[in-house]
Order: sequence, then structure tokens, then C-alpha cells
Amino acid sequence: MDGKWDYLWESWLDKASWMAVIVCMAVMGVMFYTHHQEVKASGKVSSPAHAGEVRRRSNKVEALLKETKGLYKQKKYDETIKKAKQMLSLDAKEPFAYLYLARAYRAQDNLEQGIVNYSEAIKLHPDFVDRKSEDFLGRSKKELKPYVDKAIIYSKKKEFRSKPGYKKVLKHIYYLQRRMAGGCE
Amino acid sequence: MKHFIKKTFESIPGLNWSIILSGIAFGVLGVMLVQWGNPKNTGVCVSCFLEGISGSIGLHSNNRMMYIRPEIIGFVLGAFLLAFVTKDFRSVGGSSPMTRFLLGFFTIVGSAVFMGCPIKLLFRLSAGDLTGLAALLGLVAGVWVGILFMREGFYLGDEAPMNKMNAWIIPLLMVLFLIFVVVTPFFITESTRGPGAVYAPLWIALTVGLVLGALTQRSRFCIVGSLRNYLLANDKSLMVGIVLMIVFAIITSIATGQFHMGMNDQPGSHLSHEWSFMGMFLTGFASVLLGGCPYRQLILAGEGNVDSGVATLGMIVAAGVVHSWYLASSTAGPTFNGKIAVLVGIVFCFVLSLTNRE
Repeated sequence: MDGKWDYLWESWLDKASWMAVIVCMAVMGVMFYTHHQEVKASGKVSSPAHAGEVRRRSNKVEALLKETKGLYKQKKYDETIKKAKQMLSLDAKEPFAYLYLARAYRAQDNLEQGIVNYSEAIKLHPDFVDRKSEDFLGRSKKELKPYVDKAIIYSKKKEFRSKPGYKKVLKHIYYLQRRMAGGCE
Repeated sequence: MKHFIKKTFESIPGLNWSIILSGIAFGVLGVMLVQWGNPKNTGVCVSCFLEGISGSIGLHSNNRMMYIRPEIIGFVLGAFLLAFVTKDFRSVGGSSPMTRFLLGFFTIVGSAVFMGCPIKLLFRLSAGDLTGLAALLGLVAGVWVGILFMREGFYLGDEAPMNKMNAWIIPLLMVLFLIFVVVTPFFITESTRGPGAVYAPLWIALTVGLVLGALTQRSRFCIVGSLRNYLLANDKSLMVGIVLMIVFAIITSIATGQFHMGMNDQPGSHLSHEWSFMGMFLTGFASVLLGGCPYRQLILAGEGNVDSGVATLGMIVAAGVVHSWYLASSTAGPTFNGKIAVLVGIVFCFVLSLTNRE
């Protein structure tokens, strides 16, 4: 080596920089490992859905969606939830399954589940909060905005904050707030 | 008032009217672009706009981010026209082109993880978005680390005069993009939904781009450059422009009803502060090594700087890749791939800084 590479290890800045490189590599290693474990545990494919991705429903899911819509219209909320969950077992990325789950939970006054499922639906299908889309939920003044406003007020109450897992729900409330504020996605 | 202005000019060497005008124009016009139709808090954002261009020309498939933003065309052509008239247009380059391509690439990766370039960061802060604070700290930290290496002799090599045609390529590419926006041939895609479908009218966006491009070509306006000059040489001249930009952006935001202070319901933001910090750290670090922020690279490319042209091409490629490889963050937060890409970028910048010293 004849001291050829000595200049890479001379000053405190060199040493600190190599330390930073090692730390970054170690963090990456840990992230890869935990990510791999998470994927293995959940059984989900690691790639997220693309915003605006064009997806095709299988005939089975399409039929279930039709049934779910019908049940919701008939105000049979327990059955709507059952069918929507069945849909999700066939396709975990079906946004309308989450939407009908959210609507059914909202009708049953289950605010936490309603919010979580609205949030999942919008993550998978941003058209739900896009004015230019046919699926825009804002057309019905009763649907999303007043529900999120209600959730924000509720989230400040002790009753909500004493529940286990409230932080997770709070994240979904904040997400919905940001999505409804507009801007980039 | 005259006395105050004279005193200010005397106390800040290097300060001139073009810097003052650039800061004011950027602050006012940037916020007004939102009023005229651009997405909220995104009056000007080089990374977001390049993502739109990349999508439109087919470099990624996110059909909600496809639109050739006339502002980008305006920045480059505004700088080009003024440089040409004032004889500042010079074809120079040849200083580590491949390295600059990758540095340009990583500035956009960092920006995509934060959800905005350094200019958008300031616009977000000016609109009251406090999620930008972590990113601002990250940007300053990244610039500071880059400066440490500059003090230790970091150098990408001399630039030399080049064949004139090299300097014309990026301005001509922008002319081509302008033709694409006007004619919209079949292979150019425009979003019908999402942020790509939210834009100011073509002629307004183009005019604003031309004005800002020309002004900032004169003033050498640059977010990262102003921080670098201040931290490295205590030169406050460019910083005055940045401060004016922020002040006028806040005033315009309040006047147009866009100012809303807080963290939770800010448009186009996420609450992953640590990754906002890391993303902007990468952008700041890579930008210092490049010699300017993504916006400055566009202006320099317009002036005929071939090295910045190569960095611009790296930025355009990155703008496509951040969507194709799921690196870009969304309001739900950063992705796993995005976090890994930021760490890879930081490692790259450190190794580059360690091995390129004189």
C-alpha cells in the first residue's frame, strides 16, 4: 500500500466520514432485515400500489363489490362489513372494499374503524379526494369532510386518548387532513 | 430611506439590485403561481416539475404526475436569452461529467423523499407549513458537511471551453419541450387527474419562468449557494435575496389567504420529520458538491455550462426513477425504497468527497 491511501484517513473529518458511511450501511442492513421480516410475517408483496395505477378486478371481486354496494344501500351494515372483508381477502389492494368498510363503520358510529378504512381507501385510490375524478367523495357534502372534522374534535378528547392504539388512529386522521388540504400527493 | 439603502449596500459587499429584485420576484410570483392554478404550496418546485416532465415524456408511469411544466422551460430559456444578450453565454464544461450526473440524480432523490426541492421548502415554510423545519435543518446540515470537504480541498476538476454546440443542447431541449406543450404529440401524456392536472395557464407559467430565469441569471440566486457563501466566507449578499424571498412569500401568502400555520393539515407534506431531515441533508450535501441547488443547475445550463447540463439530465432521469422505483414520498410518508435510496446517496456523497480532494 506504501501509504498510498493514507490521505483517506488523516483528519478527524476523514474518520468521522468513514464512521458515517459505516453507520449508513449498518442502518441499511437493519432496515433490509426488519423489512424482510415484516414482509415475511404479513405475507404481503413489498411493492406499494402506484398512485393512479390502473388495476383490473377479478370477476369474483367484481361480483362481491356489487353485492357489497347492494347491502350497503339496504343499510345492512354488518353484512356489508363481512362482504368487504371477504373482498379484501381476495385482493388486499381493492380500494372500494376499504371504502365500503369505512362507510359501514361510519354508519355504525365506529369512528376509529371508519377513519382507518377511509385512509386506506384514499391511499390506494387518490381519486377519492380528487375533484377532477368521478369517484371524488367530496361531491356528497355529508361524506368525508364533516366526518374528518368530527374525528379531529374527537381526537382531542380524553376519552379517545385513553384508548389503546389511539396513536395509530391519530396518524390516519392527520393523513386524511393532509390529503384533503390538497397539493402534491 | 435613501440613506438606509446606501448603508445596506455599503455594509453588505456584493449586494446588488438584481439580488434584491430576484428575491422579491421569487417570493411574490412563486406564491401567485398557486393562486393562478399550481398545486397548493407548490408555486415553484424544481423536483416536482421535473417529475411532471419525466412522466409526460414517458420516463415513469405514474399517470397523476405527467405535465411538461412551462416554468422549467422558462427558467432555462430566460437565463439563456439574457446570457446571450449580455454575452455571458459561454460553452464550458468537462469537469467530472459522470459524477455531476449522479450528484444531480441524488439532489432529486433527496427532494422526492422530502416532497420538494430547496425552493419549495422555503415556500412551504412561508405558507406556515412547520413540517419544513426539520428539512431546513437537514439542508443546512448537508450544506455545512459539504463545506467542510470544500475547506479540505474537495474539487471536481477544471472546466474548459468546449465546442459551442454542447452549450446549446439544454436550451434546445427546452424549446423542444415547449413545442411538445403547445402541440401535444401522441407520445406526450398529460395527467387528467392528480397534481399533474393542476397548473397555471401556459402563458402565465412561461412568462413567470422567463422573468425569474432572467433575473436569477443576473443575480446568481441560489438557496444552497447563499448558505454556502454565508457559512464559508461570511458573504451575506445572496442571503439577502433569500430573506427577501421568504418575507415577500409570507406577505403574499397572507394577502392571498394561503397562509396557514401548523403541521397536521399542510398540503403535500408528511410527518416523517427524520426522513425530511435526511432527504434535505442529501440534497444540501449533493448540491454543495455540485456548486448549486437544482434550480441553479437549470440556470447555469441555460447560460451554456455543459457540466450543469449534465447535472440537469441526471435530475430529469432521477425524476423518472423516483416514481418507477417507488422512491418518492407521498402524504402517507416516505417509502422503504426511498429511505434506502437516501442512505445510498449519502454514502455516495461521503465517498465522493473523501476521494476527490486536491
